[in-house]
Amino acid sequence: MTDTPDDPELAAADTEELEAARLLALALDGRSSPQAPREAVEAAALLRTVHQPELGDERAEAILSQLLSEAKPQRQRLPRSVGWSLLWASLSLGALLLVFLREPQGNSEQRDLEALRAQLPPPSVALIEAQAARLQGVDSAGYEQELLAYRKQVMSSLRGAGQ
Amino acid sequence: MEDLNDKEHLRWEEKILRRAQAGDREAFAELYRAYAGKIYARILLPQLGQRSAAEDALAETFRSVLTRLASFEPRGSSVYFWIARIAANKATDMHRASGVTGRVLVNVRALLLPTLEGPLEPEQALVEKEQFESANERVAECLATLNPRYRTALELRFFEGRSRESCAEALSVKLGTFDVLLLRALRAFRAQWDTVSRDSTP
Repeated sequence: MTDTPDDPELAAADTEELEAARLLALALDGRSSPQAPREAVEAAALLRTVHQPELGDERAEAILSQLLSEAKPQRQRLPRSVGWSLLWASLSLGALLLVFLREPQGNSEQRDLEALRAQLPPPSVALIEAQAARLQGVDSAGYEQELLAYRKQVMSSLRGAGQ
Repeated sequence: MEDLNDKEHLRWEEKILRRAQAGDREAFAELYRAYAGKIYARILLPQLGQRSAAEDALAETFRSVLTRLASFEPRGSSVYFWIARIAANKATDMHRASGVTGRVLVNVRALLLPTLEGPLEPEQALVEKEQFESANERVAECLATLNPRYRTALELRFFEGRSRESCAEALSVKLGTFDVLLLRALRAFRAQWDTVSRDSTP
């Protein structure tokens, strides 16, 4: 149905009243209509509120379900003093671990290296002399033989240490 | 008015609260079921005057309760009053935001105030069920003074909750005609209500 100018009830309505009625209809349907006639909107709110002020069970449960589905309740917080104590205890434990666990680990590695080094045979005097001569640019035929012999000794010592 | 600070009620509430604060969802649901209806009817609907806005505010209120419940300490009074304060703040926030959202909100409590019998609790901004009943009687008095066509339009739209189209059909008028009719009916009702309110003010 559309309105016609000859409608008897609309005939008396001027443009301003027609516009006010249109804005009111928007506001009452919950749509944005800040210019709607305030006194009529207030009267409508009063009638709706006073007539049925209760929230229906169905709507209440729907809101609850929505709330529970989107958020998790927070756990109860510990008292502040307990929280600080736990923090300090954790920090102290961390510091202790750093001091007592990290440092001995470095020392033990060093000790293992020194023990291994002690088991290795010292190079022969002939090898050291041949190496020195080679560094001075003098070609020494015995250098390769001395080095090979020393390598065999080292490998033999390492195998013995590994068993 | 029921006493929410009654010792037995507080004992029950304490048990529920402890469980809810520990993260028990069922306990939170019990708390919600105990107070959501009261918060909606006593605070949010009277302060917002629009069901959908009041429902949104209710959800926002209990969302905040869920987040902040762990830090709540009872101090001898019901958790209801703490929730009521959160709800009143949410309603105020909604009024402030209405300039941006365009939502037309009405503080019905302010309209009801002159006609309510018995004092309101100002700090809790409560409108009790009995006070609603008394206001309802005054609404009926005002409606009785209106011309029958206006009264029918108001009853169809606001008491029966019908759509504009359905109201127009019931009154055998076009939609635009019904809109004008409703505007005039509301203005007539409002004028009558203001007269009653003025007469009731001591």
